[in-house]
Amino acid sequence: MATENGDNKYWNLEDFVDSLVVELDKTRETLAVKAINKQLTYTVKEMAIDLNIFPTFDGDVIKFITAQPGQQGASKVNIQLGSITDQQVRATTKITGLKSDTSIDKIDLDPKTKSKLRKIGVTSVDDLNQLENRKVDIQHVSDGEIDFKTLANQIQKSKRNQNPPVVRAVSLALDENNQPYLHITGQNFSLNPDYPPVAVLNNKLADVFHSNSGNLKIFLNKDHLTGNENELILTLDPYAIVKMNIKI
Amino acid sequence: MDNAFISFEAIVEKMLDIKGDILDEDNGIHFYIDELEVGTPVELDVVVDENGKVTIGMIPPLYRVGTSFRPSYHNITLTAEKYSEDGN
Repeated sequence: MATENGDNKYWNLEDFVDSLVVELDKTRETLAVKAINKQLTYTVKEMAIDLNIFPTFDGDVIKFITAQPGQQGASKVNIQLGSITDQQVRATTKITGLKSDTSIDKIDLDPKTKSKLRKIGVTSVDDLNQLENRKVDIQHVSDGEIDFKTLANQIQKSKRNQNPPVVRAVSLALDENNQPYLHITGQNFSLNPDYPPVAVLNNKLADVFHSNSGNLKIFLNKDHLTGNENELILTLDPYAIVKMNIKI
Repeated sequence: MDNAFISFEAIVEKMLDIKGDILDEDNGIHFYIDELEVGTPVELDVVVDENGKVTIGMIPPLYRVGTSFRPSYHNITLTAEKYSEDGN
């Protein structure tokens, strides 16, 4: 068993290949400049590297250490890199970091679930939605450890936490029939049409007759207002509940 | 990286720094190499920094002396082709 000593340390295969690719890219750039003055130059089409390594597995990650002089019994790993054109890169590579997509790293999930998701190739909410659209049974492919509904709830909760409701102003007004209503302005109130907001004023249900992201209008009657201090609880969706005291 | 080793980029550049064409004006012959494959055993120096970033240094065999304590030779094979302006 080889152990770390001096500069010889364990490395991830991904980091090793990243380093190879970066170096190959540098080579291509240098050769492209060289080709301006020298007509006959060569560029790397394929590369193969046979490594003598000792692997180690900590139960989650496999790491490797390079065999040193005199060390016997190393395993062989063969890495082959082929160059592809930029068109192929575009065709085979997913664009990451889109504003509309959310990385699973930004979602408040436990590390074990994140690790399981990565193992099945899910790195963003968009990936997850694609699996759901194709009717893939995530519970089955993750050995029963990931339930889509639970996960979807956690994602929605996390996304909602990133866009919490903000109340800017509350005012009393009368509609055209002289019925009083409470007008609440702010942002991120009603974001999902599947969940109409529910208002409870002083423990009595109130009718929310208009709602959008920036406005809520709630009809009032004499039963709702019991004094100067009024407790309003707004359930905007399953992940956002606002409680406030209104002085009239 | 140990001073005895050179970067992967540098070794690839040196391997591919060849004239590439064979010209015989007397007989009116002009050949050029379209594709070449170079394979060599190498010693590796894989340096890992505190962030896990890997830097690869390599060097072909330095000594041609048989010893009982042998370096661990890895193998690298490069296939290179004539470079054209469009990068393909």
